[in-house]
Amino acid sequence: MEEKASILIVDDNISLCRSLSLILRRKGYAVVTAKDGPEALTMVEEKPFDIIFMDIKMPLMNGVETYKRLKKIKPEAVVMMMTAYAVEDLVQEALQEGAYGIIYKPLDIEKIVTLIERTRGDKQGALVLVVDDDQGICSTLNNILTRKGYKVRTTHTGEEAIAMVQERDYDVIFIDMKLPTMNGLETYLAIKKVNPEAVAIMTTAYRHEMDDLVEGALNNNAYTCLYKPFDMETVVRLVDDIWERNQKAG
Amino acid sequence: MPPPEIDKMKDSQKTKQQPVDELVELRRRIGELETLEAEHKEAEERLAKESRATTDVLNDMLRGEVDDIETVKMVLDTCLTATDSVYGMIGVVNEQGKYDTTTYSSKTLQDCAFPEALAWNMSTGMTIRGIWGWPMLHGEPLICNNLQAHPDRVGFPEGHVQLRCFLGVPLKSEGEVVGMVAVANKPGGYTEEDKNTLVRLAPVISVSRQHRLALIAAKRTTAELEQLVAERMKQLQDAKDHLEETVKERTKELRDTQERLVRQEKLATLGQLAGGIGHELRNPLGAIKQAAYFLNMALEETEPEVKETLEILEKEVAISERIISSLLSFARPQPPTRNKVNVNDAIQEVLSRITVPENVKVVKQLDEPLPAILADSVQLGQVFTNITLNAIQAMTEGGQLVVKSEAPSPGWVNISFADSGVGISKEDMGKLFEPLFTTKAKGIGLGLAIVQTLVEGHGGTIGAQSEVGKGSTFTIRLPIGTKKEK
Repeated sequence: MEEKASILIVDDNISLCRSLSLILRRKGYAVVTAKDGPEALTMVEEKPFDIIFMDIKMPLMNGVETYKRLKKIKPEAVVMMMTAYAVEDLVQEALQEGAYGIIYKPLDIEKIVTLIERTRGDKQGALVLVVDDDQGICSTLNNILTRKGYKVRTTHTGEEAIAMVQERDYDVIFIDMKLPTMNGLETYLAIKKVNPEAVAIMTTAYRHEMDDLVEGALNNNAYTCLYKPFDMETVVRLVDDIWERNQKAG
Repeated sequence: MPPPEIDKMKDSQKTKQQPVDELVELRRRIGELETLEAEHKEAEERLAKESRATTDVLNDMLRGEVDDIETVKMVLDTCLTATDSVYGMIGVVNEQGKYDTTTYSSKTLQDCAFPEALAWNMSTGMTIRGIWGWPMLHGEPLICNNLQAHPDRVGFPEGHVQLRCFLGVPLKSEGEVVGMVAVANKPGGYTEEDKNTLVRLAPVISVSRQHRLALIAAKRTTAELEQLVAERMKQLQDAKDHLEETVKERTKELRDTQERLVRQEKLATLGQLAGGIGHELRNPLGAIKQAAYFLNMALEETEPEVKETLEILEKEVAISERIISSLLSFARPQPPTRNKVNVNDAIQEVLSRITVPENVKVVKQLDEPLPAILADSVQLGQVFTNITLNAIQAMTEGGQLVVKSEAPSPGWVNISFADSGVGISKEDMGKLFEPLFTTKAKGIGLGLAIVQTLVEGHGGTIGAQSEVGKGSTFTIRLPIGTKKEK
């Protein structure tokens, strides 16, 4: 049997920290806990962990700050943020920085186990294509999704995207509505012709101006539309959902 | 005392014949004097009569007791009396240079065989010509006692009153001929005296005419003024009404805004509080949940009572979680992440997840095919769940829930949930969607508030109808796209 994952739980709430570690240990994982950021950093320096559960709201050093420092020590660390609070900005920051995801307390233990197992899998995640003329958006999505084990390809034009889709299938395609030559809807419809199964998430910064195009895409079975600036949590959740669905179907 | 002249005569009486002649001569002269005196008296009386008539007319005019036509009629009567005439007419030269008869004497109207023609003359005017037109054409009075012989004679149309003699005097205003007064058929014909009488009366008619014009102008001005005043009054009234309306509207808007602000503020405060408590509770609740989970794992084979207690623990934790998540979704509503959603599927899914008590019968009347709508399927699920749970809770004694979907108008989908439960009282209806309003022993009163927020977040509306003892119906109206209504 494969060796069970090693887990670090960082949370200032002792009851929570302790009960979670008891559960996960009983499930066979090697679990250690840290009550704050500095302690966690020390532990990470000593040995690597397969996955780290990091509370966001902590004394001394918050979870996001801790994660940023941790990344310098172990750039490839898989860190799952946890919170009981509405700390939107910190959540977005953490995800932009490349945290694996965000889960809210009270935790759903079954989901935690699935999550752990997924991070230990063969790391072969979804193949994602990002079509956006904004280089910033391309690299942000690339960073976030790559950290989650997904493979990401980016392109700036609809024409190139169509060519790429002709070569191979993508699990999820992000298509910006406003592209230099052909617009997002045209690109989407062309991609649909090449691969009717393609799952596309339309993106736009123009909530109202692009309504007609967005509706056109949604009415042609685009998965959904995301408005910029992205809520990273939604981005991650959507890709996870689609990937999971594809896994089940495939 | 005999007059000195007679004394003188007596003194100079030399022959018998001489005094007789003188006496005859004297008597003749006395007769002349008497005649003169009588004529003088008659003239004075006539003048006095004219003057009285004129004064009467002027007084009446000045007092404004008669209208203009009446005045002219009175003047004409005066003229007729003063000249012993049978027929007469007064008229003015109109803008087209024709003669407009203002009035005829009543005898004229009586004797005329074609009064329609007279009426016509009075309205459109007659071309000025012939004997009757002479005074106006020449600007001079005319006496004609032998009409047949006059060179300007044009003859009478059939039915015209039979004229024997005629006297016409032009009416002048600032030297210009503006009209004419004419009389006819004085027994024995007209004299210079009659002419002079009429010439003297003419200015009265001119005055009357001016008065008439002034009166018309005044009337017109008065009418215009009155109309203007009426218009202004109406404008003012309209403006006032409009103002009142505007004030009313503004007041209502203001009150609505105020109410909305108060509501928003209340909601914001409530949201903060709810959010704060909700988040703060998530940590301890998480710890409890994990502890229960661990115990459940650790005590896999244990006494049934322990197992049961653990189940109670987990069940109550789940309920607490639901309360907290409704608090949080109320405190921080998320914008919908839209997908193409089949409303019927969403309803089916919700109904399959909910445990419906045995005494409640669910009747589905889902219209197929229903147009797909762009909506957040998770939020829609929450909306349908909340309403269905409410309906079930309203039917503790059992009943029927009719879930209906339809697309009654293009671009919209309607979903209604009709229960046969206890119903909602009239006073509670108004507060139905207010947060923290609840009639249930269990629940914090956020369900419908959240439902409303979510539905409105989709650009839709929700309404309720209810009758106590009969049941309630909630109807949700959702747009197919995102286009705003209108």
